[in-house]
Amino acid sequence: MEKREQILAELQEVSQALAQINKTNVWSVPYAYFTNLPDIILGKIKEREGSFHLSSANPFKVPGGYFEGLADNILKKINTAKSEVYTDLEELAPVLNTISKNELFAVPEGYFEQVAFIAPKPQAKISSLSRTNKILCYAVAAGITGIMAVSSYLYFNNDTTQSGVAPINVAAAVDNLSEEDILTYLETNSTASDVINVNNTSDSALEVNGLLKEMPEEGIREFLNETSENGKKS
Amino acid sequence: MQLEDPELLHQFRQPETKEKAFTAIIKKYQEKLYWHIRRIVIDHDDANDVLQNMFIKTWNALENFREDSRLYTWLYRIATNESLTFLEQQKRRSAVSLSDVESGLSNKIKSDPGFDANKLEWKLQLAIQQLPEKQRIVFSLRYYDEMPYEEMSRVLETSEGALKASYHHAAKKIEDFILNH
Repeated sequence: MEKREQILAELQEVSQALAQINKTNVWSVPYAYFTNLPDIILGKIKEREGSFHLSSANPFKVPGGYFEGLADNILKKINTAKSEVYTDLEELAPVLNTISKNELFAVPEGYFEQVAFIAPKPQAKISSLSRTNKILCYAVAAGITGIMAVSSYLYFNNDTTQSGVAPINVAAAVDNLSEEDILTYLETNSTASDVINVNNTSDSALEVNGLLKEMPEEGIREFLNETSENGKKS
Repeated sequence: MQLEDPELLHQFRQPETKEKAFTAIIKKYQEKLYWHIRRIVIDHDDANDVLQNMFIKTWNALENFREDSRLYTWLYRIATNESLTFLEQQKRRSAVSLSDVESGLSNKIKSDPGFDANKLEWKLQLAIQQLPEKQRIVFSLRYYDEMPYEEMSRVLETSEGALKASYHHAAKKIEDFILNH
């Protein structure tokens, strides 16, 4: 420590007022605090060290004498494994047991170090379909499917292709017939009474329709075919 | 009669005399260190906690203590660091600024049973609490512990010139406070 006078002189240079203040300790400590403090601190250190020992203790247990016999047990297992191979060969080919297993072949120096650096052979390029190619494939597939669907529909639903004769809508065809055609038909195919009735009511379309209703559909169809053929010829 | 530090350290390294030597080290330095800590943290219970913790840490660290510095300088450094760490922890716990901690320290001084606002000694304590943390420690080490700048430089790892300047600034501020309050 520097002499108190030196420190006081330094303080007087800086602050006269401060140098005049008495250095009396204004604080207090509990009774016998410093007397007991060393024992308290040492007690805490021992307590902590005790807890450290406990925390570092291994909580697991091993069977008695485990480590003493461990090395022998491992060696015994190694020898057992070796003798199994040896025993097998004694039965299969005893002469093999008499031959040294040392490698006779040699490899170039540093061969195994280089093996890891041998470049793999280039493989065939596997290219994935581009987006455009994929769309094209889907479009072709959709087209084929569409053609098949249309073909199937036409095949199963179009009777014309099978019979070669288009179906006739009798009611519509009759509506399109002229009165003269109908009278001609009746004259050639109907009974006498039908003709009389028709003549009597030639002006009444309703009566004609009534007569037509009584006629068989097959007869009307026949008539219409003949009429249409005549029309085409003329 | 107190043993010299080198002898105490030698005994500490012997298992059979370790505890005895450590007890002797505590007895030798406990009061100086306690007051150094107390002036920083103010409250006795806090000072007691810091002092005990620093000695417990010393027990573990003393094995590796290299005698290239004096034991007392080394102990002062630990005590200072522990005190500052304690104040830092207090600041974090209560989520207040350092200035709030300092005003809290002033309040602790005022709440001391022996506090007398008219006494210069108590005014001095309040004045010290107005100082920045580093200046407060420098002033305390120089004024109360009468520590040479050379030793102080090792404790605070600061140049002697900077410490002298810091001490002078601190003394001037304290004087101003005392004269104006």
